[in-house]
Amino acid sequence: MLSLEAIVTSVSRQAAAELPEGLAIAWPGRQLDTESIGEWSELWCDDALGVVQREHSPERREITVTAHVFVRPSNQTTRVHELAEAARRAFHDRTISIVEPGDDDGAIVGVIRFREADVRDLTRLHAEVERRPLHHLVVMVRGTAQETL
Amino acid sequence: MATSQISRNLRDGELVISDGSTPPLTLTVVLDEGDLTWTQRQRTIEVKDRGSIAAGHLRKGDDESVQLSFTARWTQLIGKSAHEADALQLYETLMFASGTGVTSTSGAGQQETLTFVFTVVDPAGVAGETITFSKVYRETLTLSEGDDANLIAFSGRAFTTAPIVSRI
Repeated sequence: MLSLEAIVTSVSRQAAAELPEGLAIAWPGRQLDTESIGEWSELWCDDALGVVQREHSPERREITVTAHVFVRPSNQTTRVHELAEAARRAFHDRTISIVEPGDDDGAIVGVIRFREADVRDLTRLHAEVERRPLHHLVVMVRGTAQETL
Repeated sequence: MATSQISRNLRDGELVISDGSTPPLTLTVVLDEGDLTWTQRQRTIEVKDRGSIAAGHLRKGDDESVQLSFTARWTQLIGKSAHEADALQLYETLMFASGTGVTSTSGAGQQETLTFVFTVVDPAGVAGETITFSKVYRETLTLSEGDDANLIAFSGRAFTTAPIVSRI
């Protein structure tokens, strides 16, 4: 049985390990005060959809992870792309282990195999609704979480 | 009466393949797609009386073996045939691969066959059934790549006119 908590925690661990050190990240379920910072990321586990399958088969779920990257305008014009690329590489075609959060032994209960990641630039859309200029890129990747056999 | 009115679906099924060893080697197909299909055919000879059906009659035709197929996802194709300590895999079982110890359920010199046991549990827990196909032989094994998963598609026949259905 794959718990949602285990999936979200494992995705968060992967992001924490792969995104640049020191980058402020709004983890799923957390809020971040962004007034005083120039760049940050938001990580979402958008969905974990059930898959039609036999009851005795290892459980599978189709999941979607979205990483939003925000950078306030500065001299580093490509900084937002740099961070988005780091987020893309963290998940694109990667296979990560699922570990139950409370398990001290770190027993692997499943894996998530991510497929190709998509990147979209929402900066222009953002400018239409926000007063402060902000670069905004979105990295979205789908994958399959599967219970270990 | 141990019957239930709940319709069954693919979630309730489990396919187990066993060989002719004593005790038999068994493999539970854990990554099948839930698309097991079989067809029981009955052959009939229509004897018409000078072209007339009304005056004609029917005779039993030859026995027809059961046609069956299923699809499963790949993990790896070979396990035990590559390393004795590894678990038996679906592909090498269906292929009677050397080193697996998989033995035919038919006698020496005959076509290699296996037994397929399909169990359908009753969600209400009262009338589960097993459907046993004996002397199953392979006609085609189609392996294909896919975006979501690579697939092994088995197609073959059970050398029997109908599977044996029994209550669990």
